[in-house]
Amino acid sequence: MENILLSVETILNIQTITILLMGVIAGIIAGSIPGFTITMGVALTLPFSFSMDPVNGIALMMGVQVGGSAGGLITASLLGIPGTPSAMATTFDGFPMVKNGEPGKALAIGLWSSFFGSILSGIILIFMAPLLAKWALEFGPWEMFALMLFGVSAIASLSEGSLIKGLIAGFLGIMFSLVGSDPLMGIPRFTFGFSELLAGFNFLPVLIGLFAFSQLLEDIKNPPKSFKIENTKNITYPIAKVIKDMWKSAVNVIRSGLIGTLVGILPAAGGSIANILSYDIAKKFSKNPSKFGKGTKDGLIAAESANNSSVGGALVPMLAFGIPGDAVTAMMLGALLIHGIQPGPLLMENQPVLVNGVFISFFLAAFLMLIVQSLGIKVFLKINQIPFHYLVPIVLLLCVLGSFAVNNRIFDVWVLLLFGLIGYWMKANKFPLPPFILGIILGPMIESNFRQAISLGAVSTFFTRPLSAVLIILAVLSMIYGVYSNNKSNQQENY
Amino acid sequence: MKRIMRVWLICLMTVVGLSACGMDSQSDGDAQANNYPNESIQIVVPWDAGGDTDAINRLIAEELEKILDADIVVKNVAGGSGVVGAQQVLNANNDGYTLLSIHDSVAMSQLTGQSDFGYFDFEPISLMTSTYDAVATHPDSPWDSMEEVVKAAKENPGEISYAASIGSTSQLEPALIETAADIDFNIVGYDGTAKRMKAVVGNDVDLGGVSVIAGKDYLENDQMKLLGYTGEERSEVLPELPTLKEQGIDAVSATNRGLVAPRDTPDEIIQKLSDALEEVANSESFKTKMAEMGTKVNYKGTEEYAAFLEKNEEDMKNSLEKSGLLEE
Repeated sequence: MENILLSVETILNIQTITILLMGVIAGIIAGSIPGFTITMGVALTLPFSFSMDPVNGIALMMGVQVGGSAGGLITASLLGIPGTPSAMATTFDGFPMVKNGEPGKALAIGLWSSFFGSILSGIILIFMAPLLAKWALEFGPWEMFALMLFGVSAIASLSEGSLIKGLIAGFLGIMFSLVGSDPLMGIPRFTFGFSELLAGFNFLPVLIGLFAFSQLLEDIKNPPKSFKIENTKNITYPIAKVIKDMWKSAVNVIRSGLIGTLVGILPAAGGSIANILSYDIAKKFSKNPSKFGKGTKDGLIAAESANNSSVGGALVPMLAFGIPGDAVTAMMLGALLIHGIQPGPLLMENQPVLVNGVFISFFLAAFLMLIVQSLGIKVFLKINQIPFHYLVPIVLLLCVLGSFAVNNRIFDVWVLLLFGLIGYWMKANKFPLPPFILGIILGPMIESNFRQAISLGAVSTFFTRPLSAVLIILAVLSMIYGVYSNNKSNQQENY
Repeated sequence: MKRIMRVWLICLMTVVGLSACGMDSQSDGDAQANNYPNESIQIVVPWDAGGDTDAINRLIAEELEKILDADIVVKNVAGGSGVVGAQQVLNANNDGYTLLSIHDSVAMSQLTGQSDFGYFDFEPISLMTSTYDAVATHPDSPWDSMEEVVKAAKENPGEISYAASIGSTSQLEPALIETAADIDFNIVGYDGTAKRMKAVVGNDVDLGGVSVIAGKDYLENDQMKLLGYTGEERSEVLPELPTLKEQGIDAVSATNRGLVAPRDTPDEIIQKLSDALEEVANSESFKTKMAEMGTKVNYKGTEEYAAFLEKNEEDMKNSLEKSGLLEE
């Protein structure tokens, strides 16, 4: 308790709060610009954090991460282009909602879902970090493989219309993910002599190529009548209504927040998987799954509360073991390293003020994010008033810049172009894009965990380890259910 | 038709725009060493921001900035076990304004066939630090020393699993032990230090290398047992941990971090940089920071470093040859 008070004192001063606020604003900007990711935003703040004391440095990065996870929803809803990889599922219902003439509602619900997701994972983090960290250790390669299999089962519900086309798209995604050095042996595969491909296709240019670039190409071919929202009545959405909406979906909010936190805790899973998994599970639990993808608030709530709560989850292994849960926490550990603080299992014991500072700044960042975005909603909505012939080149330029900035090389811009054309072709032939992305994300993780698992023991270990067995059974059930409900909704549409 | 034309036009414009970005402005080839440096110097770190190599190089950059009175920019170009970033410097201007941070992975990548260039496709400047590891295992495992591990491995060849990031120095570590003790491990690949550590703490794998600083914490928290130190002499951080050599395994494994420049960078510039780096290595603040990270400051000037790299490559080659990892 004394420690907490001491930390409150360290955090609650003008300097730290200003730093947090700047981080949150920077995060919202980085998160909302397609082509710029939260990871890049945090990497940019890394040098600044060196000259600050460790608590402030971490607060700055925390602000960027929390702000960014919520900022992704702005472009995801308004333009249908995920501002950051972890906002992909946000586009599924956010964008249709905007097209239905409810942009204010989409932003408000997304924002409050992000807020509740953050708070929920923050509470879990404070009270259960050591316990959950121990639980995460139970996840060996067998369990990770089973979990990824569960992720694959989402392909069925992400395939609007043809399941076959969805499966083909998912398969193609996995194929593209194989390009690059073999994750375990380092042998180059399908690189065709390009040393730039040794690390595989970078995820960011692939994602914005598929979603943003292809979308822009299509918009040029068939200009939408206007992005302008005719019905200005719905521009703003009162807070009371948002709270009521959230209350009605309380189960969904909590479930998605829990999914996000748990996925965040597992090493290397992170926001993008949390975002999609939670959307998929919400759809499966929903009484009206057919409304998903057409602008239902539940889809948006699931997607946004999960990606924000995964941030809190990722802090669990970092604080409990000094093992980073994602790229951003890896950078936070790097910042601590520069300050001479060795992150490890004794971090909570040796640096209580710092650790509590992390907790408090996480909560503060969530509140600041809520305030900044609430004030900013009207400004964000102006994006839709920018004439189309200005908007497209601007977004295109940002995509190119962002792809370049990933690794400071032109090669990734060509990757953007290539996947833009692939995405355009897929859309034109009615292949769904989300399964493709899912394949690219899950492919390498399925492969390396499976190969680690079989080199560590017999194949039967997948079924003799209880957690792994349960997850595999769940994954298979989820696949069967996915196929079943996909068939059902197709039949309904045929009548 | 018109619409399709427009789509292609946009693509074409992007392509033209891109190729314009690709053309680097040719900077003056004969940069005068006398007024070097008069613009900012870029250190390419071919690994992600936040790792050990990144942290050490940022600390070097901070000190170097004061000594050379120039801006030093650390640029992370990650991927392919360091090959992607190294490739960039390989083709960079040799005017002393683009430097590369390297460690043993450069030779490792070449010897295992992941890249077609090695140490001597660059101009060595200085060796800065050497970091040794501790061999760790889960507290539930039956062994309390490397001697016991060797004995168990002789009884059951290829049974004991050893986590390693393939293509990096953590792969060399088990390979060196295998050759020195004449045993066989089941080397399991993990991409990245974080996943490797998790595998040891979670008891997924039998053995794995950890940094001594992290290892000390895990040891105190009863989450790991440490079996041996890969240095020549015992570590100051964990003086009670015996070296591999003391336990009859004639192997020393380290990550040796230094800086190199593109081929044919003028000697005067290399000399200037090497002198400045010596000052960095001798500065108290740098020494303290390195001690906190469990890393040994191990400065070697240009000529000494070149000789060191030659020997290092030779040793690595022998070990990889014996464990069958060498690219034929």
